[in-house]
Amino acid sequence: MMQAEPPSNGEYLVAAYVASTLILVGYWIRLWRMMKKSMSGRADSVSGKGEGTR
Amino acid sequence: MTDVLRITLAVAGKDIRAELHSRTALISALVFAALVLVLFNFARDPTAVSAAILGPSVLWVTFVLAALLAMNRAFTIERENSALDGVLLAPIPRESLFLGKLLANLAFVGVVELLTLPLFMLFFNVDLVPRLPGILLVTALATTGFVAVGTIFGAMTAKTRFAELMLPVLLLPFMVPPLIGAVQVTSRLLADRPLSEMWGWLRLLALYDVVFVVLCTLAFSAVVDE
Amino acid sequence: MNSPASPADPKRIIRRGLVLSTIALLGLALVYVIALRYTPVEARQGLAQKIFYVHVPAAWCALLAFSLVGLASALYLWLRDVRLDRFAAASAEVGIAFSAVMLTTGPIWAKPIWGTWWTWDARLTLTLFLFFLFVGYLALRAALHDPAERARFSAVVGILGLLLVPFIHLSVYLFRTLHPQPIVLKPSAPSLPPEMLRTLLLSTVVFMLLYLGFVTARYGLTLAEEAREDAHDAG
Repeated sequence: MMQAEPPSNGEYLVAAYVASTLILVGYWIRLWRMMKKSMSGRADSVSGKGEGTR
Repeated sequence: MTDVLRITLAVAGKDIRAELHSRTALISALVFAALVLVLFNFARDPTAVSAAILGPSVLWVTFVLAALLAMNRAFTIERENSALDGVLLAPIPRESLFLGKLLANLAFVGVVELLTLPLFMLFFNVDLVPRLPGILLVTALATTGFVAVGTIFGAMTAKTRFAELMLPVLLLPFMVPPLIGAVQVTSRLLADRPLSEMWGWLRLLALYDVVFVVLCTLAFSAVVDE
Repeated sequence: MNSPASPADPKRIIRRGLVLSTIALLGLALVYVIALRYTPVEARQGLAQKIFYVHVPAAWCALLAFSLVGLASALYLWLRDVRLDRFAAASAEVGIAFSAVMLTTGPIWAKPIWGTWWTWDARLTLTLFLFFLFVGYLALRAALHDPAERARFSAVVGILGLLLVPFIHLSVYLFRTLHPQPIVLKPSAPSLPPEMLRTLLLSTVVFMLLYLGFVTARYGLTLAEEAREDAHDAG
């Protein structure tokens, strides 16, 4: 079987890797920010609004 | 065992009687279903797709929306009257309580669906009468699935602030398998296909019902008890 | 009541989680490098096939996260241990992140390979449902303020959701066999060349570490918030 040239679709690969990284690192940053907030003294919201996934 | 049955029927009877007492809810639900059918008529291009092909989808989306509305209402009324608290004080087995509510909701949604069928036949020019037994069977099976999960979720979301949004968000994913089965069976019924082609889907619907009725019955006490 | 022995406890847990997930993110970078340079290019699909090394482990982790939510929910209703509830909530949130990765890379992969951004194939559809179930689970939690009630109710949703998954899988599969899609390429064919398999396995390990790190950190954050509220109430 003749080996055809593989299609040139590298831009999709880049987009996918970039998007995944953004999501995962973004979540990490969210966790980190929550940690900063928790270390910096009292949170004023007792009902957990916004952090509502307790 | 018969005690459970007796109490179940008593709970169902009480809820159904309360429903009949004020027919507003039933009539409103019916009008809603009718309006959804009207929406569908204008939301399609009649020259592109025939009513017979689109029919099952239209019918079942209408049923899903009507069921959502009906179940939302069922528990908001309880909450407003704090009626559920009173009932909970009595030493009723939670399974009976759930099954009773399930039956009552089933009756309500069932009546809405039954009365919507002739409207559907009228608006979309589809003759369901020769296929009525099959239609009734698939409607009973799928609706039981909707209502089983809807009853328990309705009890939970009634305590939240945005119950009208919360219930559909939680419930709709659960309505998809019965919906798929119902539409598949209904379209085969309308095409007068042999029973053998529907059997698999009917079994799936029945399995779904068994699994979720049992599960929701068992889980109900976690919802109403501390 | 499971209050931490000392205020430092939650912080240690959070840090451990963040460190682990940082390591895993570095591992992810390593996976990218290996996928790009040291793994062969698939002849028919081209470079885009390499999205597979992120897409598939993300899907598995989303499913894992969801199964653990269901399992923890069932155990919670049985044992009423609040740690199970905290874990379930953490797993659900992390599950959303992995579902998001899967649902983003899925269409980006599908477009060059299948010519269409979205396909209702079994895996994508199931992950879409997982995403909705995660969101519903967390939305319900956010709407309930009594901790015990919130734990019980979300546990019910967790269990029912887990049992929904086989039905979704089955009915979507049956639904699709009625509408056969053009069989183009089966990217996840069982006969994977060893280099590709190795890269996939490495990526899977990385993603699992990431899951572990994230869940640990999120769990610790919940502990920290509870401790803060206890102090606030007592103070």
